[in-house]
Amino acid sequence: MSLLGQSVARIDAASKVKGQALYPGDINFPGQLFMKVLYAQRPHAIIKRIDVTAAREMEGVLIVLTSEDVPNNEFGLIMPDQPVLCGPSSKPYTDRVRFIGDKVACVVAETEQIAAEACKKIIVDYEDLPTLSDPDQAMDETAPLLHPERDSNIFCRYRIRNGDTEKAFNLSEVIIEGDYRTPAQEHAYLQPEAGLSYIDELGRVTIVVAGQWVHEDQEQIAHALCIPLDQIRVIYPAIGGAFGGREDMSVQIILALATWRLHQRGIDRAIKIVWGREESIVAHHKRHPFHIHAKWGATQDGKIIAAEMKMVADGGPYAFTSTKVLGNATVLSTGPYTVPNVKVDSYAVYTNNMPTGAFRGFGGPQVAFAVEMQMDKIAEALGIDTVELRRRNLLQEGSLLSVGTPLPPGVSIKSVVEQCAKSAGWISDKNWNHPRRSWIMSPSKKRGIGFACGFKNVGFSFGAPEQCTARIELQGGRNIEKAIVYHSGADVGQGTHTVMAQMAAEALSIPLEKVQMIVSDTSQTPPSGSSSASRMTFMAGNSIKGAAQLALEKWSNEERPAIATYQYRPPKTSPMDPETGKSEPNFAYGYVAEAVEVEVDIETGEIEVIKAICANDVGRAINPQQTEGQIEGAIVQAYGYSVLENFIQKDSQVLTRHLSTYLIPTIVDIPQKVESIILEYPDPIGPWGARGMGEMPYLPFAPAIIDAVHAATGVWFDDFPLTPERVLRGLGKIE
Amino acid sequence: MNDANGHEASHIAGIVLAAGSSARFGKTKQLIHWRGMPLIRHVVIKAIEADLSPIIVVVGSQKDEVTAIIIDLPVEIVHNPEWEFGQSTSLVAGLNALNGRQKGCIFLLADQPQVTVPVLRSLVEAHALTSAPIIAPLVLGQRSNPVLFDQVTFADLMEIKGDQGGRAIFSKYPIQWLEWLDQALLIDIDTPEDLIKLDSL
Repeated sequence: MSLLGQSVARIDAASKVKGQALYPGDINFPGQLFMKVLYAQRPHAIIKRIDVTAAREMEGVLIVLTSEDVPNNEFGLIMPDQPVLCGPSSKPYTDRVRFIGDKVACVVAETEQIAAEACKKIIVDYEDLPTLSDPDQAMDETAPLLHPERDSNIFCRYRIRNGDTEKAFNLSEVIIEGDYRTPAQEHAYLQPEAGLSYIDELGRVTIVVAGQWVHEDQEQIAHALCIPLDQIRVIYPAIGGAFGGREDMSVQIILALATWRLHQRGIDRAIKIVWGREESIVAHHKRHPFHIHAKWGATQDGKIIAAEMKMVADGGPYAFTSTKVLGNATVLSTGPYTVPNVKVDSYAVYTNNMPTGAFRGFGGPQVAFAVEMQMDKIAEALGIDTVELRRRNLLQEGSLLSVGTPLPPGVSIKSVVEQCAKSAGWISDKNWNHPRRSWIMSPSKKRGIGFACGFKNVGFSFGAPEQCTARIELQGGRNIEKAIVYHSGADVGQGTHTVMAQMAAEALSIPLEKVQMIVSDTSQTPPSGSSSASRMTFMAGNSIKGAAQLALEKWSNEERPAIATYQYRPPKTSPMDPETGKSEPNFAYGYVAEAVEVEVDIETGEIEVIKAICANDVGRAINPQQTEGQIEGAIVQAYGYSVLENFIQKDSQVLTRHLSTYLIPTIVDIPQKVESIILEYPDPIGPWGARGMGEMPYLPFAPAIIDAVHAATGVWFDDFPLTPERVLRGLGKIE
Repeated sequence: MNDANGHEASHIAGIVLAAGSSARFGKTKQLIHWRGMPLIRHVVIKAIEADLSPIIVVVGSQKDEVTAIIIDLPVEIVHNPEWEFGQSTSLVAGLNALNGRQKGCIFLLADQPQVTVPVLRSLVEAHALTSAPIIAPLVLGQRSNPVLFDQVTFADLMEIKGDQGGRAIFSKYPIQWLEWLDQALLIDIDTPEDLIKLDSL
């Protein structure tokens, strides 16, 4: 029987249930030292002077690091626009702090307490600069520049010009304009950032940390420290959630820097750092808040013929992955619909707010909100059922994207939409409709049903180098006794190592017990790319399949052990044309639709989600239980985004620095019921047909909720989260 | 095409028996107002809140008036033209309206507005654990309504005749009792005074 499609127990289940799995914060080395970071805590200023004398002289302090200790004081995943430590250095403008979580100094001491005390003794003289908290203002030509070496705070822009929107608006019988705002969101992984560093037995600076891409961490450390790549080793132990929040550097470079500098002084002791929750919240990036203006036109029979969008993403003070997030949002700006005339202008703008970067959905949820709201409003204006309007415009096999090129084969959105709608009570007659989308439970409680759908890319986009490599070693004599799979892919909690083991066993036709995984260690495992972009099952699967095939060939040629390495490269993608956006942005997509039933308490403004139905085409569910877990997890996280999580920044200070003020969903909040409809329309180039799916169920949730609230109350909310205060204001009950 | 568990979603249905004429009460009970709503609406809303699915409401006596009260709710309304031949005819009409995919059903009585969401959910949960053929609340040692019937009993339920309810088949199956402490469930609304008694609890 095939191992694929079996919900085998996770290979890490026992160790996690018993508490034996070690996360970075659980690991200790004899004689280890502790590190603490001094943060700017002010949004925009020039550092005039740093005096570390008192800190350095404290008993128990081994080293105090400032900008002058960083060999190449810059880093960044897409572009190196961020100083490792702010302060004067050979690179211009590193003497500025640009958000409250910018790092100014690090102290390494015998104990955590001493390191914390020493941080307080560091004297920093600042000259405050004007704070830019509003991206729209920061775009203005007269606004002060966050990075004076650049000529604008707009650090990325894209355009799509396809067809003639002006002409199409003239032909439109209905034109809907909307102004939408989406909030920042904190990743709130259960395990805040932590790590250890030491010099390993081969003299390498070794970092044990939770991340999403070991080789990228390694490169960024080597770049800042100016030491050869092979002198840096990055290892991931158990990882307590990531969601995109660990794609950029947190403690990696500063740990490596401290270990390297102490080693130069003849001190080789391990260094440990563990961030508290508040540190985690102020020092790592957030989901991009977007401001989207949309103007869409449709004919009387419900054909969308024009879409014009302007999007501004708050990029925070450094690029992080903003350029890619914005690109993704731009490509998805007409949703899973065929729109012949499209004009999009999108901008990522530097501000002094929290940095923004990767977060499950990667620009998709923001733009899906605007798109789906537009569809709902057009359906309302035309008197066409919301599902029916979508059906009339959905992408099909061979459809052209707004960027002028066809979708890769395997377009399943129509079936996905229909199966979700059916499960939620829609009836397919000639036209689709729902007999009853709202009702009143009691004088204060109203219920409504909402619908939304979406799609998202799998894998890196826009010509970014994309590959994934696996190595397999087969041991034994006559029969294969053991297969060792070497893979760098990060298991951030989603269970990817289990799925990799299943795919390896399947490809080698051996029992799962014979597969051993060696994972996420740059000194042992070949480059895999990141655990992001819903790509790991797809990319790792193809790499493991290839390596298994090669290893089996060697095995049959009597090689013992039989060792094979295989690099999988998907079809090439291309960047957007700067004027028209024309491109082949992605090589694969996943499709999703959701229906949500909510109960709105019109007296308290509270929203309860009674039921969420998610139909998700995953191509092939390698491990259905893990797949279902991803759907439920995405819905819970998207519920937080839509209803509960109110990340407040005022004058670029974060007011919600703890989980007592920034409320994430708990068991009492989450939807009472999540119905996962796992669909399996194979992706022609996916391993065993599998598509990526980790992000897709996140995308339609906010618009589905807001559609349901509209069904229940008749009120549209163009921004969220739907906190009781916002709901009551929308209902006209408070000012 | 599978869902994650390889089976189609299935539910416990709610069948609300609201066809009777309440001869003893003097007027059709399900239409009487109590705490701001007709009794029938109380019961149907509890069934919705407990997430029973589908919910079938069997109407008969004064069917148009009863229907009007619940027409806005996401339930299926079934007319039992034979309601005068007793409760069994409504049982059968309700079961006939199910599409056969349910694991079981709970019969709710239109004159039991004090039924609670927790007791309904507890019946469903108990059934999920044991799949017992019949599960009924036991309040202070007394059997009570509402009762959950597993689908294995449906054929026997369909055979019940005359003015009897599901209790007619209790002797044929082992009954699983759900210990429950809410005394309100024991009150039968047979006279207007009973509603006052309910309020005083």
